Amino acid sequence: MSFEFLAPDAAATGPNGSRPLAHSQIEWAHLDAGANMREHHGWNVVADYGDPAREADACRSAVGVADASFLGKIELESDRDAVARIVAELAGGAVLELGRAVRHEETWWCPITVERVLAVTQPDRTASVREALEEAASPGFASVTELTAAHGSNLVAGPLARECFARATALDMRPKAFPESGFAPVSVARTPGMILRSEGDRFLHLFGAGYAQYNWTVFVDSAEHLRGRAVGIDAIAASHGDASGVAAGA
Amino acid sequence: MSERLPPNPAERINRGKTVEFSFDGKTVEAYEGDTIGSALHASGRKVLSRSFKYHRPRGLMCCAGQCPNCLVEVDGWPGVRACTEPVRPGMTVKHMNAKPSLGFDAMRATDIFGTRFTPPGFYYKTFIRPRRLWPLYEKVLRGAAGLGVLPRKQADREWRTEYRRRHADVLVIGGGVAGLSAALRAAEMGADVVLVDDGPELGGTQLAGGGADEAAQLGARVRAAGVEVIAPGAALGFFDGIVPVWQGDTLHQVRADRHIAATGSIEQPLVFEGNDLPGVMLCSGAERLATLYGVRPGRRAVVAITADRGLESALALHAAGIEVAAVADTRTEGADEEICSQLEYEGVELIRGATVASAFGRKQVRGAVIAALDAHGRPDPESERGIDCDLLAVSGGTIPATSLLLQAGAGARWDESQSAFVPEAPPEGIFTAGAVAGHEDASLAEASGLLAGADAALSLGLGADADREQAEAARAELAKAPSSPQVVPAPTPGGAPKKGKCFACLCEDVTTKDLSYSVAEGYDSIELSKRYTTVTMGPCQGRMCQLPSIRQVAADTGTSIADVGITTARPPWSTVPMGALAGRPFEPAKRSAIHGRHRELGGNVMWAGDWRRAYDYGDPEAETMAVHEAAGLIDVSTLGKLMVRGPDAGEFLNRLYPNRFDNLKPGRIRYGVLGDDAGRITDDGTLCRLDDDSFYVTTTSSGADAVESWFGWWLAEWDMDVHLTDVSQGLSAFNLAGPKAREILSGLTDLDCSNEGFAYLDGKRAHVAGVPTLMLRIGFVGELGYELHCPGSLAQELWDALMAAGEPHGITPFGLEPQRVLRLQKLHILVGQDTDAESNAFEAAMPWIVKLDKEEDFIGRWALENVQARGDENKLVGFTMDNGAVPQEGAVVVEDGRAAGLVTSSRFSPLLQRTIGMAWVPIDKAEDDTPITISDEGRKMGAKVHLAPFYDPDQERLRG
Repeated sequence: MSFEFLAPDAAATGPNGSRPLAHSQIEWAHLDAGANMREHHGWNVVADYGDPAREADACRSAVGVADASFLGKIELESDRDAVARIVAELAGGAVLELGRAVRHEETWWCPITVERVLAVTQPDRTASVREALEEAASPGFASVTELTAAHGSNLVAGPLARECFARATALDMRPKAFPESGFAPVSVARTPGMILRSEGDRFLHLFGAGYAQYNWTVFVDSAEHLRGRAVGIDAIAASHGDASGVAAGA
Repeated sequence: MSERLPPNPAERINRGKTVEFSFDGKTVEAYEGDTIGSALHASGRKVLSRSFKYHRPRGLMCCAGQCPNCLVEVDGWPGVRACTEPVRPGMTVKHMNAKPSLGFDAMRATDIFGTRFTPPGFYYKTFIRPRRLWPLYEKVLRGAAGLGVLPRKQADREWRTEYRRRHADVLVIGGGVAGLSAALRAAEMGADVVLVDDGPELGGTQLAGGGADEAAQLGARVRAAGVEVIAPGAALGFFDGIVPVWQGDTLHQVRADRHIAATGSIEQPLVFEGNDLPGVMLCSGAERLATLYGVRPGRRAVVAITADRGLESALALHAAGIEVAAVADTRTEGADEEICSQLEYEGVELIRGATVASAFGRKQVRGAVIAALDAHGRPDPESERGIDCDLLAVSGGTIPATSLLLQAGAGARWDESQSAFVPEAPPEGIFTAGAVAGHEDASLAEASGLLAGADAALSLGLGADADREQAEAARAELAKAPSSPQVVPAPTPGGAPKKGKCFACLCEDVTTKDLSYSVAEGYDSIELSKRYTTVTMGPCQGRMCQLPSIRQVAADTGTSIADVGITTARPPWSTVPMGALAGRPFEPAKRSAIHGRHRELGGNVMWAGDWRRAYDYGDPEAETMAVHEAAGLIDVSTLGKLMVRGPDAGEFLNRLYPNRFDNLKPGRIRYGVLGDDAGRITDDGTLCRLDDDSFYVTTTSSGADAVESWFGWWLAEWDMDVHLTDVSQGLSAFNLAGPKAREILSGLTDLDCSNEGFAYLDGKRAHVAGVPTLMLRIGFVGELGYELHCPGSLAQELWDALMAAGEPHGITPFGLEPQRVLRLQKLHILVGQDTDAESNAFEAAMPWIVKLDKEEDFIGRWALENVQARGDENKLVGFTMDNGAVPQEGAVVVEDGRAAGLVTSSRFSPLLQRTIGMAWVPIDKAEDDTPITISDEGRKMGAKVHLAPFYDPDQERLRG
């Protein structure tokens, strides 16, 4: 890849003999809150905040907010026809329409505009999705940009997830207005953001990484007022029966 | 509890449970379900507050939260309506607006002696001269103004509030029978419905009318149908489809596709001399007090009315055990004779064609003067007779509560028979139901609500043909329903009672005479009179006083009420604390990926645009020197960073910048200054060509968004094969600078970092400490330096590795403040500080940036050609101070006593041991060693122009 300086997964073994781990931009805030960290596909992630059972329960009964910045995000930009062709090729023939994302093999294809698509995937698939995009995009004029570090992301899950979002955004998130796979670029907490409804009461909120601490504060504050809380990725997985044990926005 | 009535089936209090609270330090016993007002009235306390301007005693009047008469302070919160606030154990309730006590208020002197000094607009008349006394007047007036006092301590004023957005298919405003029926019908037809009601219980007027059980059952059905009920909650206004509803600590922003206004009607007071005395109540208020709370509003009542509803109230008061001495009905015909007969049978004297002319008493009503209406509809003094009473229950009829509808865009039409402005032509998607639509009777209100609910649902495509047919049938029936006319006494032109005061506006203490004065002074429209007298501007927002003020202005101008019209309806319709509108106090702020490290290092973090940045780490002077003597490391992640890619990328940048980029070789960097159409500098940064079709562009921290917009706008205009991607927040960037920088870097990368292998203005990609990095060898701080750009997720690893590798070499983190000193030594500009909206590259001492010999056009070319042709008029230069003082940034360069330029930057340089700076000066001063004079807050100081960089002018250290 020619622009490795954009990609966290392009880390290599350093002079000290070890490969640097990738970190959430607000790892310091998680540590302040008592987070227990663990490695997850080259990332240092929050496993829990010291009470995994309560965190899982919060996700089942109220709302849990988890930092999912480790999710891979790659943007494809090209003309409308090229974008449609590439997405169809890589997403099992999927046809994207604005307002709806498509999931294919653990990757969400999220249409920002008809000429701009954001692929959101698991951290162990980021490099392969990026390479597949670069290959599919050439020849022709298309840009594939690694944006994993550019977008922070929070998973917000639970029966009160919509109420949590209602404190921060005017997007109509009622099930009939925002069905499963719904995707919307929208203002959240007065900053530019994107919301993906992956399933049921599980949502992924994407935002500029510089706003990570601000968005985290806003959402955890709302969640706590609704008797929810910040949770580690293990709680999301436990509450939603994710067999792999990995919380995924996907 | 001496004023309690025997229990009645409609009461809302639980006599088996007492609640104690304090009022002005004295314990008051109440029942669970009482309001503060009902409990105080039951205990014999009839005076609850003092009026705004004249400090006249006031007591319960509406018992529905609509008038201003019962505002009290509860647990430190001012402005609480006692008539609707439920009692809680241990509440501390205090009066407002009276000193030293509610019983004796010294400011009552303004009423007794000061009326002539406080006419409408008195602050423009009375307390103007002598002007030197204004500070004293201001202090006195500020002390006298206002109704409540906030707690002094910040902690006592804080409370947690938040916004909640709620989308819905249908929003129903009003939880009386009409609103409940509408909500139920719409929900049953499949709509997602939200219902809002500001009362303590759903049911509206049905609660006092014996329909509480039916209202409760209807409410239960509504909830069971899935309607979200926000109650008690006050709908504050209508903002282009958003209706904010205040409920406790939450401001619900409700966005609905359809709105149903079931806001009911508002009983109107009558206007007569002494109409504000405690004991003068609205008929509905007296009825509520008696029925809902089992409190005797008075022992002997006179009732003055204009419509049948008032007759029903008189009957209800009599049934509750209150002696009704007389009922004065303005109508001579048209009254419900069945009720009239019943009243007369009960021994109540019915006086037709008459009204109340005045009320008398000192702190309490002692009697009413009743008079027949003359041919003009006014009380005839010849026919006056006094009747002893301690309760004067009045009703000037009802008016529809139209404010929210009018805010939504509905019109208002004067209906003479109703003596009210009624809504008309609501915009599409807005429906009315119940009393606001003219259907006040309970059964009509229900039918009206069912119809409105059906109409709303049908308009959303819900429901079936049968629903449509049913709705049409209901509409036809409602159209046949008769209406009950009202006759309201006419006001007296000039507004003059014989003596005493006749209030049009109880909130603002505006009398009818005040309104007449305003008209006489030329404020002869209702809008002007309102602004001049402040009528309708108080807590009731015109509920009690809008119509009386319109009537008075009509009488004084000889205009019809229809022609006078109404004032513009504006939010908030109900009072709301500022805290509820503020929401959560979180301010969007961007933070670097290593913000935590800055904290650990003791960084003084401050705002820099919309970023939080470390200004220094405790010793900016030492940090500055470390860069010169060893190595410094600064987090410059806030820089804007754009990927500009495509076959036309070079040409695109050529058109945007005054210098060239299509001839920049891959792996090389060039400084760019961005300008607008007028040739003025808007931003600067570096551009690194990554490959034939790709550029990496940096911008100033605060200019990133604007530059991206600018680029995007022109890209859309020119339709070139270019893609633009903002990676500002995805990449962290650190500047490693100082004589040891190369040595530190070399230990962390396999890249050849020699001067030959990595020359000045080279851009290289390599791993540093295992982190994939774009390295730009550029210099902003005047020493050998490398700007390292890496994924934000790996920034912490890179920073830690650089600090660890640099420790033996004396590496020091440095912040914005030392950076400012360092760049000033090199005369590097800060766009927006050293430049303004008038600055161009020529006069900013960067003529080399402008390539007018470029073949293609570029933004600002024409303007820059003109600047070059006319020659520089001003110049941005460096300067040194003669006396070592540091002038403020913004100090003026003066010449012959006049402003001739401006200091843009100034600092003391610890390396150079002198004060240096940058300033704009006239062109004839822009020569080395030219003396200039700087005026800083009146102090004049000498300085000398210095054109070359103060440090390393030949850039040997930078390029070595």
